[in-house]
Amino acid sequence: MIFLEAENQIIRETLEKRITAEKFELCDVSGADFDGATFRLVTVDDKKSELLVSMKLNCDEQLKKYGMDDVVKKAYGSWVAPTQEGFSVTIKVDLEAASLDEKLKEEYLTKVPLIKRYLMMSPFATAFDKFAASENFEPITIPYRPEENIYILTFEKSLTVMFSIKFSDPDDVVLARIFLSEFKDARRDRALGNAPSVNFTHAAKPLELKNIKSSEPDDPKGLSEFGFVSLTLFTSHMNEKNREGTIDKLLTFRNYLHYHLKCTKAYMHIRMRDRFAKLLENLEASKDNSGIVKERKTATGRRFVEK
Amino acid sequence: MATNQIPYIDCIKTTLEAALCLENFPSQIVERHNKPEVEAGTSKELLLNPVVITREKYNRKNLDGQDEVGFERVMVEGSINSIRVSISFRKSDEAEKILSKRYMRFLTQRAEDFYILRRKPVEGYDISFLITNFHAEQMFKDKLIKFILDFIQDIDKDVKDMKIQQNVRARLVAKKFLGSFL
Repeated sequence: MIFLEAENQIIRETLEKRITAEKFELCDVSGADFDGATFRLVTVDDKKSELLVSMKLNCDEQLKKYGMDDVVKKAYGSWVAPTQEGFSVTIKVDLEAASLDEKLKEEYLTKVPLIKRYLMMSPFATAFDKFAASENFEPITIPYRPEENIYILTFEKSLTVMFSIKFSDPDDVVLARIFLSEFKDARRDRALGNAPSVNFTHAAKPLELKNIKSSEPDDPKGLSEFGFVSLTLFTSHMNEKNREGTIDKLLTFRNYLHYHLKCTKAYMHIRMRDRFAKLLENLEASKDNSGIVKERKTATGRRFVEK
Repeated sequence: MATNQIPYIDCIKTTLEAALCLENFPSQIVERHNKPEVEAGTSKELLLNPVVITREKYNRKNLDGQDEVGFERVMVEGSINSIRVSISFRKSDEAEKILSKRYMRFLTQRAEDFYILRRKPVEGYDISFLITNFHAEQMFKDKLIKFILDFIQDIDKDVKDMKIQQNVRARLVAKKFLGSFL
């Protein structure tokens, strides 16, 4: 598995199970998604045929500013329910109708697990629209994790999405550098001419962020934990057709990177284990297991005899 | 074995053969104790001069872009009843440095099974072995030496391989991600 899915597998499986179940039962499933998002699938007021899917994001206030509610309404239409307390958005799934209508079921199963994408999508959509209309817009900051941000900015007639990524382990910085410099170099490949150009800086704020208020520390020591990755998008990434795919990729970028960093470490570990077993074998082999005991004598030629 | 490695390995082999000449030697200070003198260092006359065998000097840039100098080397400290072999591997860049660091940590955590492995390396080295006369009595000397020589070569090779693997993976990951943009 190279890519992470944009949809949430737990939501999908729970929905499928509930829709196809013979009898509708009470349900309360909660879980977490990437970037500190939490969700809950619950039936309320003994109405067992209706399932409420709610999700909470860290940065919902900022997202609302860019029209999160409109995007959600556009995507889910009449499914949107009054928001449950403590969540950013709630969607109602009519299990009974879905169990009878195969088409509706499919629609639920493709759209509802993507709830996080629809929640996060609004700033991107706003920026893409404005960029397409060549309007200027203020740089957008999305604090998608407690200490990390996504910035969307225009810079010299191009649209750049910038991620600030915190690496708590200094070793991760080194690994990430290897990965991200490959991202940078990969574009030299002709086949990838269509891909966004990637830039990476570590321990220094890129010039693009100079005039933006950002939560990353300014002192060199605090900044040394941060890497900044910028992806410069082309218009072809932002048109109606490719937009959703592009946003999915962008939203999973950080997780994709971290996931592969961890895979690398796991691979290293497998190799080390292998080597350890071999070394141990070698060491055991050098042991003298012949059982022959050498007779020992003192300098005068006397010997020790057990009695 | 890489050709340029032969003199280095040969030199370590000869040194170890000379140093692994151990006898039982109870502590002169504490009665009924038997301590590895190379560790205890209770008396100067029981210790031999440490020998450092260096393969080559290398430069590496650290994260701040400054040059650091390192030496790929082995130190053999001898004494009457024990020897200590400390190894510092080649770490020609940051990636090799963390690979080697993780590798050594992995091995030292398992020092229990590896009875000649020291739990903590000597300062300035990546990993240390402590071989006492009891080990030497249980094991064949030539096989023990071969084990250490193989160890040095295997780890060196592994670190290099893992670094290449890492780059290959990074390239693949980058290409797949960027290739998925239409």
